[in-house]
Amino acid sequence: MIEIKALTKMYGRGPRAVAALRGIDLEIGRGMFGLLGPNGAGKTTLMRILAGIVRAASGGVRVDGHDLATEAGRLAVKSILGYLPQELGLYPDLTARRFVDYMALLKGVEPERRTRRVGEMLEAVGLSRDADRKIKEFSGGMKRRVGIAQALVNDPRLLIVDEPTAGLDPEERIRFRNLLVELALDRAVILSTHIVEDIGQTCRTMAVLAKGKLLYHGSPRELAAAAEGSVWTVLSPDGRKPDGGTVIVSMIHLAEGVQYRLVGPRPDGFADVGRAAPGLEDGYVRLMRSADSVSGENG
Amino acid sequence: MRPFRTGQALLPAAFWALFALMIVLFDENPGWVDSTRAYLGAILPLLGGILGAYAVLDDPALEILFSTPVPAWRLLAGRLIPPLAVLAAAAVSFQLFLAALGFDLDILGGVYSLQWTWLVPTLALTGWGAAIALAARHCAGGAMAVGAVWLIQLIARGWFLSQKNGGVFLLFLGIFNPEDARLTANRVFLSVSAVLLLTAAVALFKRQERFL
Repeated sequence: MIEIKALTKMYGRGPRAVAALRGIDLEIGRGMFGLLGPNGAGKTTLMRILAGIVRAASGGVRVDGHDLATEAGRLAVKSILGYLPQELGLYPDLTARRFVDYMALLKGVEPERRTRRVGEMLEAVGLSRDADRKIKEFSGGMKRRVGIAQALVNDPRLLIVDEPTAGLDPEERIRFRNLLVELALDRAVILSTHIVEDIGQTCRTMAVLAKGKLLYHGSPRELAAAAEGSVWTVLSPDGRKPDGGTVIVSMIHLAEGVQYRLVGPRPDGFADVGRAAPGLEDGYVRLMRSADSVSGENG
Repeated sequence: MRPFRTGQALLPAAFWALFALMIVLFDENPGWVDSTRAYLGAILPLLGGILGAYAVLDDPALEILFSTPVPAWRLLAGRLIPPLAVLAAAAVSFQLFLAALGFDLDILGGVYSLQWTWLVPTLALTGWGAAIALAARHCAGGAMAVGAVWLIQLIARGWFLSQKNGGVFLLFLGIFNPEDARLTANRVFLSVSAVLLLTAAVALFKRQERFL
């Protein structure tokens, strides 16, 4: 579905140019694909390039056989695309129904099925009862649901969602995740987020970006498994923090002391240290830590 | 192509009402002639430029719109046509209003010729406002560029007229000097400028990432 070869993107020119993406090679097929990385990793730039909004500096991207380097290719990709940007802007004076209908019009949804399709999408995101209220009266979560409805209204073969669960309450988040998984049965869905749990719960394959470079491409399970033997739980009766190159993933105050969950080498100086089964978050932390140490050595 | 923003109609409507009131209150000849010339030939082009500067980038849903399979020229047209339609409605209704009051529009050069005097400069300044706003990625920058050109031409109108070819470049030649020999060249220049500026605006608007 998507082939990315040696993709590079620079912002600015000359000595002040900043590389947002550095030589990304990636293949994305149908199903859920997760894109994970810290802020500033280049996720949004990659999403915008795949959506045909931003042009690459070098390298090639083909989506469903269409070359994104050409205007015709970009328009062809946009005709099969559903896109939910990270910074979602809507028209506050329109009703949700009117806005989604307007987007359906722009996306070329046939007039005879537009009204039905708009109604279905508003129902799918749980906005049927509020469809005729103005968007300016909506909460942040409701606005995001309008954004999701507009992304889906043309029944896209490629769905790109950038931080889609930001601002959603836990129930809405679960519902939206499930909706994405259902949609991914017969299309490509790219989910960009920095919420590790969202990727772990939904994606079959994933990639990790940091500082514009591809650090990992594989399954969430393999990324988690890579932290096997590096995850520890430590009980610190006096609350002393473990050091020695470990990363504290979480901490809980218990009656016996503070329990830390760590990723890294086995911590010294604690009596109660146990090995823990790794999760995706542990794998991600370990990956980011090794990338930092490699760049530190090179720098 | 874009849900109509009522704000785009408020400024033209306010000026329409202001000039209509001036004509009703001070209806002696040639007061109405000067007011009509000022409204059609100077105010409408200025409003066209300002609305053109704000029509494109003053849009919260720009990133979502860029993800739709609509070519840049159609997106741009969808943003510029509504304010131009408002201005056209204002111009036509203003003339109908004058006719209803019994004023003879032939004094201003006839109905057909009168349409050129507001339409061509309005299109030229709309193109100027949109192109500069897109080049600067700033609506206010486009509006200021429009204001600067408009003000300089208005203040230095005498100088433009005194130069051999100066009248060709004058936005207000058609409305204030309809008998000038350079009128045809002036209309051609303003029309070509409008086309070139709108083409430049389309070319700039194709570089979507500049506006995110």
